[in-house]
Amino acid sequence: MLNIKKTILMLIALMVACIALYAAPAMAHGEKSQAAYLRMRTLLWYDVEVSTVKLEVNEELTMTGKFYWFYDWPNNIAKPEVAFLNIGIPGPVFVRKASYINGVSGTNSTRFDIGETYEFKVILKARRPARIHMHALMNVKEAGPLIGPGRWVEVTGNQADFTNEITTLTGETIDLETYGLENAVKWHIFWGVIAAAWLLYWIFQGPILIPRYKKVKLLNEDADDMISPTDRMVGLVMLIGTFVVVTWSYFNAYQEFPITIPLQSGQITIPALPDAARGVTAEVVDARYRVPGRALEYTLKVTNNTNSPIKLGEYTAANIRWMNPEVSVALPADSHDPVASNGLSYEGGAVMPGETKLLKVTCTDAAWETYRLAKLIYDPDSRFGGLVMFFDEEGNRSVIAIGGPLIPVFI
Amino acid sequence: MYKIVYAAIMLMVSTASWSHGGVMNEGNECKLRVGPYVMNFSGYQLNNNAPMQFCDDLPTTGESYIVLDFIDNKLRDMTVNFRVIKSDTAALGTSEDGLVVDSELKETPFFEIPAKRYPYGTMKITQQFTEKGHFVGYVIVEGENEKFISRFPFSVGYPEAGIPSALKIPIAMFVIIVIIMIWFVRKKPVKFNEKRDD
Repeated sequence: MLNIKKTILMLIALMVACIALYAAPAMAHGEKSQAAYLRMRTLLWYDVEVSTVKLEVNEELTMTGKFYWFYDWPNNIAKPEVAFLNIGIPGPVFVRKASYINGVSGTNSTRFDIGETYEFKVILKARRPARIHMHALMNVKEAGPLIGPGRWVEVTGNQADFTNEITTLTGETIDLETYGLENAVKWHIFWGVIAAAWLLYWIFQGPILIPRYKKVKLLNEDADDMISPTDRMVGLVMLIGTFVVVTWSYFNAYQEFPITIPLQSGQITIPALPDAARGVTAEVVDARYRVPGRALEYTLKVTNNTNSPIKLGEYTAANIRWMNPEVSVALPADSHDPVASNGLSYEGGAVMPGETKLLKVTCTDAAWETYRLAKLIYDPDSRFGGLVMFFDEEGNRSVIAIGGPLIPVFI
Repeated sequence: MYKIVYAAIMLMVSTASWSHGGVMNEGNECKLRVGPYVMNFSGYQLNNNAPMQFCDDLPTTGESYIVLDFIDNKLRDMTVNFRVIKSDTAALGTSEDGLVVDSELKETPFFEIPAKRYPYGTMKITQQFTEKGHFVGYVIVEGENEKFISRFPFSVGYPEAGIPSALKIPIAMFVIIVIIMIWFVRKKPVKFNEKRDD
């Protein structure tokens, strides 16, 4: 007869071992590993800049930019009911001094509206020397991190020189880098010793693990006899001792720090920026992805309700920018900044004030493949998204979100 | 039976990685190395499951596309020359596949895309392969003060023999599970120690 329990346990152990051994080295840097539809149809970042790309320990860096919550949000992704603006950095190279969304402090989690635009500013202070690729990042509850554009930043100097001083409510100046560290280490050691003593005591009280389990099965109703009066006394002392220490430490901390405020866990709502479209509307009539040509081709129906002719200068999606150099110029900020400086071209010319026109747009670049956006054509719902940017003769910009179904073509 | 189990486990733990000279399959990406630079290599065949990407070998004859996507942006500032010559032998599957042979470079190519710059970072090669055969591809990139050559043998019209690589792991898992189930079925059930009355 089949021993089901043992078989299942064996299978689980085998599967875990295989998965652990099979784990191949991670190839992606993070931004490429997320699904194409997720990067194109959730949070669209633009105008992201850093104040400097080289600084010393203790110097500050400011990251600024804008983000738009895409109107055609995927059904399977949680909406940004609770979200937190963050910065993605490998290790504590910086500390965050402040963050703002539309000028409001971004210390707390925030609810955002789909279809709206916000601007952000994050101030960071360099903590330790490193050369890192840092990203703007939005953590959305139940959706995970939505990654913004990255920049290579180099921090030089000596970590030992780092200070992170603040003034408390009572006027005391403290260095957060070292404040309370000794106390935290002391308490960790104290509870570690207690835990180790408790563990060791029971290890030396007769059989443990499987032999103990077998003995319990054997003794059945008399299994409690395995615990001696001394064991019970030790347990009681540990229980009372723990209560006493916790209570004492609580009152001791309260006496030492009588003025405190609770950790802030509330949620704030921040009003969105004014409509960035500025009277221009655009919708996708049809769209194709030319697979061997690495080109997205779409027809845009554009209406210009401004007082000035407008031209298409940029299409951006998934932190990649396709530029029309005749209208708007942008160069890669560093070796990993995906900017197709002349990747956008279109037929149709300028859209005059009050005119509605069809524009045939082509966005070409290897980035469709190297940034894995072309994987979209293998999705059961092959829809793309992004932002198009029109510019008038004075350089005023209109930003409009577009999206729609995408058909792959191979010729 | 142990040998089968060992073979299956080794199959499961091995990461998919193989190469034909400069072209190598790393994880789920097909890459072409030219000196210090890397390109993505994709082959497509319109009459053979068009959306499917092939890595160097093209399983059938007919209209085919080879697309090279530059991962290193520096390649956009360099010229790229792509040439293919006919070969009598298939890829060896060893490091010799990647060795540049001067005499091959002097041969008249079967077809060639002359050297030019690709500012979009993508190079599309269209070719009608009318009959099956073995070939050697060369990618030559040239910048201001540097030149690198990558060699990769490939075949056209020879479908992959054996089990498709995508099915190997699921089949290995299935075989292992079946073997374990049979192993436990044939063993006597394990009984817990019972309490003695004495």
